[in-house]
Amino acid sequence: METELDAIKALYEKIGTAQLADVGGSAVRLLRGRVSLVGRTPSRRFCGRFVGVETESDMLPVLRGLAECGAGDVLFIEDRSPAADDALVGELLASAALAQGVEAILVVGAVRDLASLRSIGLPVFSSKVSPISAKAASDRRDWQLPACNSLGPSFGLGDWLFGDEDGIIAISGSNVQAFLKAAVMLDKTEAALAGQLKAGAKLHDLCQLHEFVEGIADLKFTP
Amino acid sequence: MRSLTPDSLTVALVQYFKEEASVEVNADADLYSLGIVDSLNMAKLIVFIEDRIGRQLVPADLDLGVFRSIESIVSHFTPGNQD
Repeated sequence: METELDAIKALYEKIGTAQLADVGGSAVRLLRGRVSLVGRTPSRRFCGRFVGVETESDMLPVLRGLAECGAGDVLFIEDRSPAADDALVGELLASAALAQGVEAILVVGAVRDLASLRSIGLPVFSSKVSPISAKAASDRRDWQLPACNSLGPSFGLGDWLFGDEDGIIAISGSNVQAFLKAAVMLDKTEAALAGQLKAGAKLHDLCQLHEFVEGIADLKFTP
Repeated sequence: MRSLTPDSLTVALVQYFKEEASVEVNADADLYSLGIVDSLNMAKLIVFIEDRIGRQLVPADLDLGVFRSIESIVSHFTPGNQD
């Protein structure tokens, strides 16, 4: 029987974050704030459920968070120490995550072992890179980050994260399948318009640009 | 699940567009040309149709031709149940 994860992954295979952003409107939150997450691996395409870890350059919360991850999860790590210069993810942790079915790792903080990360096959994004590994430095029991507020609009538990070459976005789980289906429809619309342009049509005619400027029609991007 | 017939789905869709787009839409009108089916309201229409037909839409349902008019939506989602 098809699971929710199977259905979402099958739909997302057909589209990208750009189409999702177009159909989601204000329901789509772009992960871009005072820091930017940079793709560190060749593969940047993923989708999965948010699992958040809060740490202060301490590996222990990261290990505990990873232990709770399962298939279809995206491990999101936020290093809240002032410097956040020690790497929280490297080859071993990324390999373990892949084996557990984790879809991607996102780190507001540092990662290392880039040469190895590139060949593992798990999308990894981070705001920094460092050769120095973080240590398991505490006995703290709390590790969960329910929501992230440092990358623009808040996102967190209950959200799905989608990434590709265009960026990373969050969508509430209650709407995600409807938005994915609408995005598939939008992709087909754009393909039909591209076909008309290839056949010689002009974009300004297809979108009714002159009529829009004259105030007698709306702009439209439908075949 | 409520009883689904071509007539009931047609009436429901006419009412839907009246409420959502403030437009009286004929069943054979081209929804794309009218500009009332676009990227920002497609998800809402999909949820409405899923609620009416009592199942999730699958990739085979996501076709531009299916969503071109109320008639084509009704024809696709009530097969073998046409008047």
